[in-house]
Amino acid sequence: MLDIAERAIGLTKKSGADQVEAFVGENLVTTVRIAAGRVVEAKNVFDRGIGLRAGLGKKVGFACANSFSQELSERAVSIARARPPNPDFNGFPEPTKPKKVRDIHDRALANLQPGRAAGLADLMLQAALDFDRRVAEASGALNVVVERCAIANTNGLAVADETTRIFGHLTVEARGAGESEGSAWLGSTNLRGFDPSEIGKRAAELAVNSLSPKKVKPGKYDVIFEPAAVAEMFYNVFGYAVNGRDVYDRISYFADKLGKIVAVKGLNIYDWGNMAGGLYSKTFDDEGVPTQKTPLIECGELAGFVYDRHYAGKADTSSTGNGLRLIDMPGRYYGVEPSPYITNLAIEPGDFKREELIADTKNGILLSRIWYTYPITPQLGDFSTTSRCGFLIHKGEVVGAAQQVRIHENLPRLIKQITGIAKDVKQAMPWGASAAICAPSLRFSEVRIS
Amino acid sequence: MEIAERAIELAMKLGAKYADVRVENSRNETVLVKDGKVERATSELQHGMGIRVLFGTWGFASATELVKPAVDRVVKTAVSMAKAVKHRAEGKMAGAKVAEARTQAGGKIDPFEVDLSEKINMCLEADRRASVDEHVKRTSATIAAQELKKLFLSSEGARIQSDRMITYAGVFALAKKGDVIEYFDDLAGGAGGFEIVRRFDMPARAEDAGKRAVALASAKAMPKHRLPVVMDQDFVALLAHEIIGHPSEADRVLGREAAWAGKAWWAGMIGRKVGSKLLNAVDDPRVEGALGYYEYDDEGVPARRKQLIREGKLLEHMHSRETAAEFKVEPNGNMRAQSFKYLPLIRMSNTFIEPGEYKPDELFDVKEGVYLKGAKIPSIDSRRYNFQISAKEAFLIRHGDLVGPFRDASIMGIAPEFFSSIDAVGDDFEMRPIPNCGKGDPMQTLHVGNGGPHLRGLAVVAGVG
Repeated sequence: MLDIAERAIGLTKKSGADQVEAFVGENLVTTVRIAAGRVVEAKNVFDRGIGLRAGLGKKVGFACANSFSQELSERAVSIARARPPNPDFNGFPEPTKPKKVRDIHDRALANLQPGRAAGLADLMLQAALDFDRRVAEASGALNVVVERCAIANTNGLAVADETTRIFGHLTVEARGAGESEGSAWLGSTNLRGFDPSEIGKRAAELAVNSLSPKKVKPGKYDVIFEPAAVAEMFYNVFGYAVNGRDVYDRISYFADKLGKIVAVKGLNIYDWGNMAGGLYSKTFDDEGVPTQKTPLIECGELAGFVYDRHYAGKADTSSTGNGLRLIDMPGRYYGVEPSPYITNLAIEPGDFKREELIADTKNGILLSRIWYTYPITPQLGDFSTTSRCGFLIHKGEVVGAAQQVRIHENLPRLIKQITGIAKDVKQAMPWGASAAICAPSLRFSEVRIS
Repeated sequence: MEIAERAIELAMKLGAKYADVRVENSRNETVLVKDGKVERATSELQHGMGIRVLFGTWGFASATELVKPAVDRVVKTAVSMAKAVKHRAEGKMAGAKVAEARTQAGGKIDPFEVDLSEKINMCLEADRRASVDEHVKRTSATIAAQELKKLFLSSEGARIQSDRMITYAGVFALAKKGDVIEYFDDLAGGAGGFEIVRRFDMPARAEDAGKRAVALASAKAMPKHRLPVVMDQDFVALLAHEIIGHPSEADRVLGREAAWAGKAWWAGMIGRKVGSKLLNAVDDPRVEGALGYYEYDDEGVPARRKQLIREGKLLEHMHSRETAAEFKVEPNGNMRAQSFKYLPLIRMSNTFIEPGEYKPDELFDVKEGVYLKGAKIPSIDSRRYNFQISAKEAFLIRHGDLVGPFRDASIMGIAPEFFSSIDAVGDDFEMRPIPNCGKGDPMQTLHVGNGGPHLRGLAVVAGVG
């Protein structure tokens, strides 16, 4: 792939560009979908292409296609010619030698036969169906993603990367006295670390335990969000607030708060693009900048944001290795220019065992999964969500399932009301997410429930 | 055509009960100006093929190489995946008319014939006009166009060539006054050409966005009320999208989207009352110029108008050939995929609440109420039952007069309660573009149209959380 990128650079220079960057991407996405207790779809998507940024001074044109041709070079250059300069364009990265990131590629996953993926999905489903006679239906999916890319530019940068990941999700419905739902998610960068049966069992157990839910009176409660619920909330309501683009755009509620205390002292959050075994770890970002561990919140203080080169330049700082090319389909996509995105959002564990958090809660709610959590007033961090799996806590014990509740809250306020951080860190990816969240259970006080 | 025929032939030879192929060529062009600078000027060309094979379970594979060995490999992959499944689905399809057709939704002015520098200048001018005073801190303007040429072939003999053009224009302004930050955006888009951009009048819209952002930054936050609410067409469009369009998708009704997108609270309620007699809702892919326009879906089924709700009674869902077979009804043409890289899913096309007989002024004839203008961001539960949607602007209605604007308002409601509370529906219908409707795994983002008239009902209006 690097040879294609380097050839593209040569020909685009001949077309008149003085600076060029070529990104060649190749993604293989295998998805096996389960619905109503059956495997309904088995899909395999192979996508390959090249994106070119051609510069004429500060004028940059971007063009992409599924394969390289002289026409692509000319198209990128003609766009650059047609536009005025952008004074904010700060060139392409200089070559660096990124350090190897451990456990981000597994040959067994890269070579996994599509039929084997279907077999793993069958195992996930079977484990749920066998768990309890009250298990009625199961829906979900198993995904295997292999992403390869090569980047070269006229500064002499020439790098190539390959990563793999497998992840599965199952939502199980149980029927007894009424209906209930439970879900589980598991992901890994290698095949040996992935047990599909575990997903089926965990989802089924939660569904069965969620039968006969009790109504929750509106009011303020101590609420423990388990890792999957923390992931949903932080991906959707925190991720944009630490994104350098949204900070520049002033949509982030953190825009003027760098260096200020924004959360309880015990909260530490990082974007960790080179975390060993991280589902969204890479050796370098999609501009060729090495990935890193970037402090976002340290001891409650707002410590930083994630940047690509463009927005780093606007903020008079350096790229944090978060310039990514993302769309809905998993993988590093050649068809768009880089923008800043979070990679692995890592919330540091605390000292509590999950059970201790529960035992220490007088009258509260335990939320295993929340749903459709969106910042309805993003510049304030106001969000709204509903529970999909929750339990009542009374005098330090889980006393039964809770009916669905709506939470209309404010994240900047909530992170100042954290009263417990557990040790139980798990990786999770919300629906459609382009990042992984590594989160422990968190307890917040005075969460408004309606 | 030859490649697609070869793929179908091979799939059937390998034992598929049914197979179809989509071969696509597309081009996209986007200009984005932000704060007076051209941030993006891009061109994207894509081509490829996706094949779907039925073995009870669907097998699917796609590739961007359209040469014989690659196509054979793709077909074999789709077949091998479906065959490897142990817990196979039944996968019965309702019969559908086998169509041979050529459709074109072009528009009057080809956006790719308009010079790139003209689009850039239009965005620069709009961006400049959005900066109405020193309180405006961020501005942007964008123009985008997409051309898609799609060939659909099926093992039943369908051959449909569908060509269509989509064009967008959008403006944005963000203002800051004291500590209050507010923004306003406006978007036009639909099936058609550059006439959509010209009609939108970007400079005027941008200036209006700037003024409204400043007015909102000067406004008070909306206090909490339970009052009659009057919603404008833009707000009703998102409401129709979230709590009528999505739960009308038959895969949700059957629980097949339970893992992610969710289910539908009105499952099993066809023929029953779900709202007031004034509530009439439709999904119609053939609304000319609307963003969800098409004539054949991605199963080759002719698109048609569906009366989802009539006089408050639930009548019909949106179907694939598979769900139509389960419901024992005719397929009604709602299967769509984002591109050849994806397997089609049941998706809304243009879903809207039909106009009523009230003049818009009559809706404001209440002692006390809230007027919500422009939809912002939704949060809906997994059965589309319990909803919260924020508004761009809100006004208090006092004896027919508007007081405001107020900022940061949203409404909370329970779908059947809200539907039953509808007591006035305006005659001033409008369609709006929604370019980013998400569903599926992997996620597919689709263009849809949504709309409605001014409408009045009862809901809790919430302020800042």
